[in-house]
Amino acid sequence: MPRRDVIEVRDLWYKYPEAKEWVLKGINLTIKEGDLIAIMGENGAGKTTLVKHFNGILKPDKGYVKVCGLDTREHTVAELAKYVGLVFQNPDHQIFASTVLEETMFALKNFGWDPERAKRRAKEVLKEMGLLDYINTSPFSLSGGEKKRLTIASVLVYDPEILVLDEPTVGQDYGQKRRLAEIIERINSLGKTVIVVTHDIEFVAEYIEHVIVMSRGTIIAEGEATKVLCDDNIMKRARLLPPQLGMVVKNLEDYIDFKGNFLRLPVFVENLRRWLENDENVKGI
Amino acid sequence: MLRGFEYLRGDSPIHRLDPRVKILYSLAYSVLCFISLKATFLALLLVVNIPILVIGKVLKRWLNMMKAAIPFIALIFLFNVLFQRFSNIWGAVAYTLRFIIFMTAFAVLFLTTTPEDLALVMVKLKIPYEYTLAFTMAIRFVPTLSRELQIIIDAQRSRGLELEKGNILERIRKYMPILIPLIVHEIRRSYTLAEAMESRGFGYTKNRTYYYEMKFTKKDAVALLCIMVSAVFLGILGKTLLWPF
Repeated sequence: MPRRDVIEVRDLWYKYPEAKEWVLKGINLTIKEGDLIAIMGENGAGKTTLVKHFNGILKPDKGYVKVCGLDTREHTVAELAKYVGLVFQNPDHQIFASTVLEETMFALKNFGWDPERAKRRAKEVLKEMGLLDYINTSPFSLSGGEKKRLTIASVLVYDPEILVLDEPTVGQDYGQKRRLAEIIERINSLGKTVIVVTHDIEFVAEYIEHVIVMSRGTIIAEGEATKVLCDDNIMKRARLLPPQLGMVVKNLEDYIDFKGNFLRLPVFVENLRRWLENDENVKGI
Repeated sequence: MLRGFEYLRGDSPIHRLDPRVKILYSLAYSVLCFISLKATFLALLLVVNIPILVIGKVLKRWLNMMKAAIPFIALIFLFNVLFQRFSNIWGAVAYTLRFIIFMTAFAVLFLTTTPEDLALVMVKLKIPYEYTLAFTMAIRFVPTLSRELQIIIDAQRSRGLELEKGNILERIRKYMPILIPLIVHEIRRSYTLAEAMESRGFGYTKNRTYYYEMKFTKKDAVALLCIMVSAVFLGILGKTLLWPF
């Protein structure tokens, strides 16, 4: 069965009020149901501005954005938020409630859920996020990683079809990043569309296969991470550094024909093993 | 929302004047607009200000400021028409003009003087540096605060908060999820800021020195003389001439 388009962006132009320069210059983009996509680019490339169009916080100056068939110009943020869950970069910009449970239930209250049902649902999500032990503690006393998971829980709680994470890895240590990746993969495996906005190239290389690269308000490349992230030209234009494994592969490509998503360490090692097992290759060195 | 208070850098002969001269200018005009209640005289005072705004390249910003003040201006006019026992409408016009001139006189100062320059004046007036710093910081953080407020509003709207809906009480309650993160965030920031400043030696000595020193130049002297002469002249004019309205 062909997957349907959940986000459709056509010739989107946008500039902030009172600003002279366009922040988004004619963006065209289609995202399909169940996709796991990273939107990458340097600071100021327009990544966050673009995803703020997905739930209607910003409305296009020219062109249009359709989310699950709904034109964002004709619907309120609250209506669109039911389809698109947007998790902001800094948890401190949204945490306000006195307990973790209340914080998680905030959206459900706004959407008019019955309190008992909302409570049950919130507990379910907090359990998934490993926060069930904290339901009665103040969200302000959580660690950085826990706060991040709480903000994801507070959006996942109303089960949006599309989850957008804005710079989820900023300020997170290695363990927290792995945990985030697990969460992202789990949500995606349930058939949900997940969009990760980031400039954390190693994180993308390790966990995300489909990449969109933005620079100065336009999309300059889209495709497989192994192709896009290892293309010097694209990376230079986007002012990004290629992932380390990508650079290693580039130096070895004269000898070894890497297959699969070699940006993931196990695949990379497997490629290397296969090459070393062939005696002819080893004799050649 | 808070953008109007943001200081935008610029350069003009007025920008380069000693801030003390500009303060005197603002004070002179504030006094002048109180010596007479004739609408025609007050209109003259307002017109005299316009070239200064043009030379200072802030005419457009001043107009924007006035546009923002229209509700207040209208209110002042309305109250005067309703509650003052004037024989005609000119009294209400005069009171309104007085408010506009008052605002304009200080707009010239604030639109063309950096917060740092104002701080230097405060220091010269022997105001303790801690208070001066609080003043400049307050101005410095207006744009930051307004950006942050917008992000918080966006974040809560993304979780289905609808600020436009409900009666007054409900709406006030709906601002809690916005105000709490803002206040918590700002308090945390102020602690970090204090630590960062202390680690760079803030408060180490009472007699701190300043990177910029104010200099009273010949140009400032000329400007000061012009202000004094024109203020006295306008003052005499306002008191002696028979103004029609």
